[in-house]
Amino acid sequence: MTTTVFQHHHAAHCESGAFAALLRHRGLALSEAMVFGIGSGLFFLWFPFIKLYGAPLVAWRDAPNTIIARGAKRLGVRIEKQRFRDEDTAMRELDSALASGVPVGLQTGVFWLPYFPRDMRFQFNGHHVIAYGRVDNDYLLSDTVFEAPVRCAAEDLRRARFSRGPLAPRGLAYQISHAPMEVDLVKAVRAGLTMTVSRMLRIPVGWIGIRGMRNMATALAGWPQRAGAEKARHWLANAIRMQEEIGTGGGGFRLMYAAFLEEAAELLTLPALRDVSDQFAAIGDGWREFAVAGAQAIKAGDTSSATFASLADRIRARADEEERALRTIDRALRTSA
Amino acid sequence: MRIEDVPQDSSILDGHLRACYARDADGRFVLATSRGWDVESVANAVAVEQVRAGIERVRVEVVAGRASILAWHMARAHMDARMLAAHTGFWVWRVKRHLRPAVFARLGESVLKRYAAALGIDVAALKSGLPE
Repeated sequence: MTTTVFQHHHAAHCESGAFAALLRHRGLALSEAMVFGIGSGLFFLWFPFIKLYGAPLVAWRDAPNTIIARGAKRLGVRIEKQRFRDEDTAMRELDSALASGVPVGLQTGVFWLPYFPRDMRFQFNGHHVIAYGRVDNDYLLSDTVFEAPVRCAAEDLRRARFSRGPLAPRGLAYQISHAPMEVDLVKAVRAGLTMTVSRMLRIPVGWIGIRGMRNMATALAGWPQRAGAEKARHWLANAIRMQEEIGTGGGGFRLMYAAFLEEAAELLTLPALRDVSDQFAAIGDGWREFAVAGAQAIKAGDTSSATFASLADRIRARADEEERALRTIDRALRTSA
Repeated sequence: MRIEDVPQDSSILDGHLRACYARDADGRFVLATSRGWDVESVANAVAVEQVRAGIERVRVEVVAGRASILAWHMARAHMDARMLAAHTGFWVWRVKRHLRPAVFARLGESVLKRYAAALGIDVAALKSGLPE
């Protein structure tokens, strides 16, 4: 039996939550929202040509593992990460890290984790958990999207670590190998903000950032006509799930970002960011209203073009608001540089 | 969202609590817990129903002798042929061939073992056909 004293923290999102918990374990106490903001987690991605779960891919965040990679770089934290060809080696290495008292972050496939509620077990391979001990055949996991630590049998964890298909984790394990005594948080926060602004506003392709949002709106308005009632309903439900169910903290990560901006405003002594925090709070609520309206349409079996057009208008309104908020951040950063 | 507006609907979470961001009485963001949200349950139900309908379609095919039992286990694991191929290391065309009852019936133990391992079941379950 090996266990490390590891403080479990409940969080909204697995990747930022896991990274924040590992940092805290190394004495760097940052909130999940802070880690999310510094790692430039906020994003919007609309890839209609990729079908996930039979529906067009839409995400309110950046690609899996990017938050940790960027966050570590900006905080000056070194991460030792490893993928494995061989499952036995991967599990052995995990055991030896745990035996020496080091908590280990793992990328896993949700479908194979038995402690997940049944109806939430879908094939998604980008889920992060922290292993911090082992008792007999069970691993002790701190899965930050759960309110308390959980246990997982060795065979199940192995299967989850070596789930295949899109985003296959290939046994990815990571630990913090070096954390600096002093962190230039101001610099890290500014870097996180700058990148988010530029990725959301300045990538000149139609599937990314604000442009992606507007293009999704146009596409969504046409779903009942182009794809038929059944697909329109299914795709809308999928969008709502990506926005709310998949650990976003509400409103497609926008409320978490508002929390980050609130902290950033104090840290950088930039009152303008406090206003943007308010804006993002309203934007998050707006996305939640989109989900409410969408769920109403799904429940009523309403796939009329008029309803989808009004849903599309809601997305456009969010795009306008987000553009305004991001430009305010941009100005605030430039004038205070 | 304010703390008092955080939804507390019974839901897909099976009694677990989800963390979400809301503002407290002083207007500061805090991590609040939610028991679930009806809106999420509605969207989740569509996805769950899609998967179940898919499994049922395959079951009918298996009963009719048009698909092998492997197709049913594959659907139950939320996989398609491409994904099962990735899990087993077989080529996609080979997996697709094994979805035919006549071909599946002739498969050797070593191939069946790889399928069973990928699907998280034992070989006996894989061979025994549809449960009643």
